[in-house]
This record gives sequence, C-alpha cells and structure tokens, in this order.
Amino acid sequence: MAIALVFEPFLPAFAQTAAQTAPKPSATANLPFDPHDLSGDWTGEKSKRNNRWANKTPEPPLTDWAKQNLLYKSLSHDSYSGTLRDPKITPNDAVPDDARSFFATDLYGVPVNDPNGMYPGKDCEPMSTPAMYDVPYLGLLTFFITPDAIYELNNHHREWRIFWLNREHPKEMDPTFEGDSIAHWEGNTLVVDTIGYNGRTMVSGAVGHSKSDAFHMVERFTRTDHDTIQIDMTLSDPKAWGDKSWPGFHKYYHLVPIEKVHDLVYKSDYFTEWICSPEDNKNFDKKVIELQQKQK
Amino acid sequence: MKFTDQATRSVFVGLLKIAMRKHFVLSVIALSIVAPFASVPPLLAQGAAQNIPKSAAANLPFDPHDLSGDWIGENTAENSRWANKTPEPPLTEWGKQNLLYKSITHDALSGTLRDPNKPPNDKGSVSGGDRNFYATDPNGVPANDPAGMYPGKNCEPLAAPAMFDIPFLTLLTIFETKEQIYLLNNFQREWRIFWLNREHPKDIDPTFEGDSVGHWEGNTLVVDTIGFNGRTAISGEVGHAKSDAFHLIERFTRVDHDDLMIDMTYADPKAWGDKVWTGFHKHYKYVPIEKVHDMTYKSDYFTEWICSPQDNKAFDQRVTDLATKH
Repeated sequence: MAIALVFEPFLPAFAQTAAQTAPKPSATANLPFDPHDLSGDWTGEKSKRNNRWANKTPEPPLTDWAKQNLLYKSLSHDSYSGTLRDPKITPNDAVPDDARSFFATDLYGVPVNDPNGMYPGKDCEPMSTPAMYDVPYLGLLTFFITPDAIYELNNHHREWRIFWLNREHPKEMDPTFEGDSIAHWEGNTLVVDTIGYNGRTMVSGAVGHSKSDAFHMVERFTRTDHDTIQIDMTLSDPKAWGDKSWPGFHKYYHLVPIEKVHDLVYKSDYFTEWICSPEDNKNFDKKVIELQQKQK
Repeated sequence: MKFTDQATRSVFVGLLKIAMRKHFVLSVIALSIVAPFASVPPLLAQGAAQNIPKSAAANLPFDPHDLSGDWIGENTAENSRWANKTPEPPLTEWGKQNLLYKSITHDALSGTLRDPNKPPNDKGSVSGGDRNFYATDPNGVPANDPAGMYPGKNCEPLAAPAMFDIPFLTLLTIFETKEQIYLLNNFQREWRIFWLNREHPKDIDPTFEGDSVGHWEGNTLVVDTIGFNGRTAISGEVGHAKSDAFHLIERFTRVDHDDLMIDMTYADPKAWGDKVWTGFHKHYKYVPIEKVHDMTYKSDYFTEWICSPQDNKAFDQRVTDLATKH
C-alpha cells in the first residue's frame, strides 16, 4: 500500500501542458492519428528540455542504507554526465565543459568527470531504464504492438523491453536487468509499471548511485500528436528514498518515417546497428581517458 | 549470460542418432555472388517437416506469409549444429592465414562431432558425455579448449548463423510490417532487420548483423545478408570466423500453423572461393503467447537473456575451473 500511495495520479493534463512548450510542430504533426498506436520508429528530440538535466525536481534524500550500499566511487568518463551546475548558484569546485560547468561532485560527494567513472552501459553492461532515455537522440526507439504485449526496442545498445498488457506482476519473479513491465491504457496514455530490477544498473548518468532491487518506475506514454510521443516518468525506490518518489522526468520523441529510417540506417550513427561490443567499448574508454590526460 | 549447468546437462543427455539425409546438391554456376545460390526447392522444407511429429495445433488454418509471433527451436538431433552432413568447402590459403581461430570452445559441446563409423583423426577424440568429438576440426583447430572461441564469447555479438546454433535456447520473436521484418533472438538479445523488396545499398558499412534484404518466393521468405564485419563466428563447431565477404541466404517457410523451417546456405569468396556450403536446416515451433508469458517467469530459455560481460567472465571462469579439475 505504501508503494502505491507514493504514486499520486499523474494528471493526463500535465502531458498536454508540457507539449505546449514544445518546439515548432513538424509538417505532419497535424495529421490524424490513433493515440493508442505507438508503433513505428521514434527519435529523441535534441533539446534542453529533453536532456538528462532537464528535471529540476530535486532528488529525494538518500537513506543511510543507500549511502552505504548504492553510491558509486565516481561518475563518468566525460563531462556530459554529473550534475549540471546552475550558474546562479555559488559553485563548489566546478568542472568546466565548454559552455557548461558541472559540480565537481554530486549531492552525495560522488566525484564526476572521472575518466574511469561509472556511466550507463559501461563495459557493455546493460543500460536498462531510465538510463536508456538519458540521451534520447542517440536512442532510436521502435515499438511493436500486439494484443498481449508491447515491445520497446532501443537501438542504443540494442536492448528491448516487453510491456505485458492488462496483467499483474507475478508474485514471484527473478530480478532482471530490464525488470518486469506491465501496462494498461488510461484514456490515451499508456501507463507502464516496472519492478523486479536486479539492482545492477544506473538510474541515470547524472545520478551518482545505482538503483536498488526495489526500484520502481512508472512511465506514461502519450502520443500528443501524429509525430510526438511524450514519456513522463516517476521513480521510486524504498531502499534508496524511503517513501519519497522522484517525479518530473519528461522525454520527447518524434516519429521517423520509414523511408527516412531506411536512408539513415546507412548514414547516421544514431540509426545504424548500435550493438555494444565489449572489445570496441574498451578501446573507446581508453581513447577517452588518453584524451582527458592530454588535456590536463 | 545465464547458460546454466542445467542447460548444459540437458544437451549432454540429448538424443544422438544422426539420421542420414538426402540433400539437394546446389550447382555452382559462376563466380558471381548471386549465381551460387540456386533456388533450394521449397519441397525440401516440406520433406524435412514431414519427419517432425505434428503438434495438435499444427492443422489450424494459417497464413504462410505470416511469420509473426514467438518460435522456439526443437531440441532434436536433426536440429543440432551437427546435423548438416554436407562437408565444409576447403578453405582458401587466405582463409587459412587470416580466419582460423587458435582453438574453439570451452566445452565439449562444440567442435566437430566424430562419426563413430569412421576412425578418428590421429589426434584422437575428446569425449563429451556420450558423444565423441574430434580433437581438432577439419582445419586442425583444436576443439574443446576451455579458453577457446565460441559464439558470443566475452559478450561479443553472436550474429547469424551462429545465433541458430542451439535452437532450443533461441526464442525467436518475429514482427512484420509492410516494409520490414524484425527477427528478435532472445539468446543474447540480438535483433536483425530484413528490409523487404529492396536491394542492398551500394555502400554499406559492415556491421555485426550485416545488411539483410528479403522477398517472398511463393510461400518462402528469402533473406539475403551481406555486409558482415568479419568479427563473428560462423558456428560453434567451425574453427574459423566469417570474413567480411560472408554471404548468407536464409529461406523461411512456415510449413503449417506451428512449424517454421529455416534453410540456410553460406558463401564466403574469401574463405571458400566459388564454393558454397549448403544443407543447414533449422526447425522452430510456434509458442502461443500465454505460454510465452508463463515461461518468461519459469524457464531460462524464455526469460530475459542479456549477456552481461561481468556474468560471462564469471561463467567462463567456472567452466575453466571445471575443465581443469577433470
């Protein structure tokens, strides 16, 4: 009951309000569409409102257990992770990165911008959610809808998730990287509830601790027009945050016509096969570390 | 990767009788990429299916052009990676210099299965339960090396055709749209995209899964794949990699409501010159969605099977430790 109570009903109107601040609609946005049809290929918008620092709702305080068990030694081998510094706030020792600067540690003292630091998908371990949405324009999402399940494929690291429709979570389940997802429609919003994570993956590249195995995510997918899907997420984790939840995550994806998908498969790194090869990943990490060392 | 001891044991005690099969011989006409792939008569798929016991739902009406749904491979000798008795074409000198692995596989379930009617090669045989394997493959690559190469080692991608090596570990999920067919393989969670009624582009960056185009010939979906990056195994029992010229033809035929047959032919001009390697047949059975849902929580073969390098390293270590003890 406590778990259910922390998830206040997420008013469908919120999705509409967020959409009103969207960039200029595309030419096909006003075409008729079936709001229950999420099928097709969707690419994340490359905008400030869609990046991993867009959520200004602060993270709930960590429990003592979490401080002992979930914190990483450090974050990220590049300066695109870590906590973005608000220029209006007096900085701690800031880390500059071109036009942005980052706090040198997150709220719990986890150093950021460490070449050897943790990042989603490091060593080709699975990214899982919500981290797979961190950099939306890197992740071509493909949805397949059947009467019993919706499949969500993420080309970035080639992971997929299955949302079982109109079912309950089983009483017993083995924890997995992607968790167990069940879904139902509330009006024109697909509500997906995921539990059963194995606690081995990140919340996000911007958060200095992992999920626990009690992590619970609720996603609300709303197709707001022909060309746009909005995903609103609320996170909770009783072991990490007690009875507090962390709302306010919004991601925006736009439909990619199939001809463009086919064309870009051969032209764009974001659309082509993006399998994580541990061999390539190791070489990539090494190059990043060498680059950072040269810059010092 | 959750390749449990239980799974290994279940293969270990599986049936071993190897039925002699008649194969249609594909004539090699020219050196071009297309010519070696003469049509495999659809009757072959029918003939093979007639040997498989029918399930109760097999006689339900079906659309032969509808391959969508979930399919699990049969656990039979005919469906194993050693079922193809067509010998591999001889390797070119370039293939011997550039493609051979130092050794294959960390368990006795790969390598070239020894024919009990023929004397072993002079390196003897390696026993694996009630089966014997040649100690080396036909090209002299040692088999059954705990540190040897196997498809998906270190969580590198499996790719095709290796992803079909152990069909009962492979829950395939197929989605069809007007433009594409997606084939999802739960074992190591890889997917491939077959672009329908298109040609391969002139310029392709090589990828692990290659570039696949498909079209229907009657009731058979013919999928042509090129553009592999040459970094993956052909199969667990073949002691060399694919080159980047590897060319795979798959023919998917839904022979009845419940049975999907995949017939494969391989070519690799860098490895085999103008010869092709034919005779690969895989048989998958339809799995109703309720069973998929139920088995997701009960069976290692149906649940999420993501390859975690961390888990895989621990697994490899356990196998090496076990092999060392023996």
